[in-house]
Amino acid sequence: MIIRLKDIHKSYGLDSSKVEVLKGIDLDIERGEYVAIMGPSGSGKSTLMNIIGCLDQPTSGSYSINDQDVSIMDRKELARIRNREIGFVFQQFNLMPRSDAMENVMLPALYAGMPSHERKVRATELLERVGLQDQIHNRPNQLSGGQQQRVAIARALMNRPSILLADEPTGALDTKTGEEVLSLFEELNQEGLTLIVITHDQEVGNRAHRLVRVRDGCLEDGVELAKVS
Amino acid sequence: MPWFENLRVAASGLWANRLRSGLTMLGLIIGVSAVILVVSLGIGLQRYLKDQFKTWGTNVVSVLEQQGQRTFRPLTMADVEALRNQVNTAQSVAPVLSQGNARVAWQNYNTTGTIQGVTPEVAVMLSIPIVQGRFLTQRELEERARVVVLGNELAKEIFKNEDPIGKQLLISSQQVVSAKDVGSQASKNSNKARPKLIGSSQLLTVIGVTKEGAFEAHLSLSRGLLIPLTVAHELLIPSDSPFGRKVSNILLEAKEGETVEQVTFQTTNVMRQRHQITTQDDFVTFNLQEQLNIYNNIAKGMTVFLGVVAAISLLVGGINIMNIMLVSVKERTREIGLRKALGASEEVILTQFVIEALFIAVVGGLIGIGIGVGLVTLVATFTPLKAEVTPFAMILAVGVSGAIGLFFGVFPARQAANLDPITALRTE
Repeated sequence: MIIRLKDIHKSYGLDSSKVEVLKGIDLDIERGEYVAIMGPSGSGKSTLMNIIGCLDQPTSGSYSINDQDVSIMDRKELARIRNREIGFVFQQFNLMPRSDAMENVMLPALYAGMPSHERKVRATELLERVGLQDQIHNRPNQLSGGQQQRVAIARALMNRPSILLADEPTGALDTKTGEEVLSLFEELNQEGLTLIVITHDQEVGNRAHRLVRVRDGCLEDGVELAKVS
Repeated sequence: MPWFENLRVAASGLWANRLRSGLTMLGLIIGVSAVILVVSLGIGLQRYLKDQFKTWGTNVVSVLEQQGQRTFRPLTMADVEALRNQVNTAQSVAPVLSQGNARVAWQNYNTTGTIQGVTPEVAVMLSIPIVQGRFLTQRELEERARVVVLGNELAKEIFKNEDPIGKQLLISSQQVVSAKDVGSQASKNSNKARPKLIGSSQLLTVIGVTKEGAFEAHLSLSRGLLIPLTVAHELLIPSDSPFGRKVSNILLEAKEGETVEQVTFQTTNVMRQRHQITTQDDFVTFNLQEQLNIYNNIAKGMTVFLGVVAAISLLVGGINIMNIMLVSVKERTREIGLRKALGASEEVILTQFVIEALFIAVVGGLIGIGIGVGLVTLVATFTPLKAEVTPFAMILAVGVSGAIGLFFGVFPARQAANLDPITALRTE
């Protein structure tokens, strides 16, 4: 089990003004799964994503990644987990505007302390893997939206994470480039990568192997979708 | 994360905002160059004063008569001999006989000058600058040669553009005693009683011209007429006393390594013994060391004052860095959030921003040193101030700017490090 969420609660504010966003979430995700988390805005899916991504910590409950109990970790350890275990893909790509594709992809490895030469070799491989071997030294403003998202995916894969966590990965892309990104996800998943995609787009959700719906801070029963092969 | 990666990230961040980074540095550049300039000029000023006083004779003690004592005895050649023999901290002893103004005539031109009988050693002792010809020699002293060394102002007045060397001046000793001429006051009363003139006028040949001293404490040079002491004794009136041939003052130069205080002490002892002083001295000693100390203290005070003003500009420069770093943190909130999401720990973010601030401070400091050194070199080249950048000033400037970068950089860096990644990522 790569991800194990047990009775996760998350609330903001104190006492009378307390708002409970997550009301006891249980979710297990196995290695190599492709899971979509869907839900309307205000359902708590963003909070759930932040907790899965170790950007936030639950008020109560336990969470472990790769059998490491994340809910008891301090901020420094959480930074390490984000760096090693999780690859983030954002809706707005979030690339460093002044750095080229190569430098963007290498960034997580910089924080992991990977030697410079090794960093370059791996970043080059990954950029080739996502089909950007000709845009290695382009800056984000010289790349199309789809290309930027592929740089972001290469960056997310840099430290060989356990999970790739994508937040509305196609939200800022047109249908065609969105499709390219989704098929890249499928390829990566077939290579064994665990994928979690947060989306409100039913079509994107349908591409996953398992669909989890969040509503009012609770999970609805998961739907096993037909595996696309 | 290795430090050079941090440095690279900082440098590229600063380069991307180069106008702003440059302007931020500017405050520090001005502060550092001002500190360097002020400290170096202060040191240069003190050195200049010391050099000037050295040529004016800070290592010279002057003995003058002081009248009013019942037991008053004038200064005489016998005193000079005694001081020569007994003050072993003195390198040389030079008697001076000055007689106030003398009338000087050449062809149809008449004027006045300060006539002073001297011995050759006074030239070395007071570093008297000779601009033309030469100074008196020992032989001329012994042979009572009728020669004179003129002050440049007097020489220019009398001879205009003509070469004064070899010209013969008609010099008449006068009864007029200048009030400034302390040394000759002793003979004032007796002068009136015995208005004696040995030869009403004398022809003296000009052998040299001296330049005006910057501070004429011991001898009048610019309008002076320096003649052999022996000739002065013959011409000036009255130079005899019951105690021997009189002199107006006696100059003693301290040996290398001896202080004027030691010379003053020995001189006072010898003089008291010779003049059989029991209560009050009938002579005074005088030196320029005290004046030098006063000027030095003024120079030091000015340096400290201006240094503090310059240091305030450094402080303002530091606050400027903090200000800009705070703006930078605000602007780059999203970038910081992203870096954190990608696994940068708080220490890494803190280090990155501190390094950026330090980078601005140190680069600004180095440029400031460059400009400061340039300005100091300009000053040293075009003014008499021998200003020099001391390693102390440089270490101080770099140390202070580095400390400022660190001090004023930590606060904004902390703010960056403590940003919540979720909020930061959501910021547009």
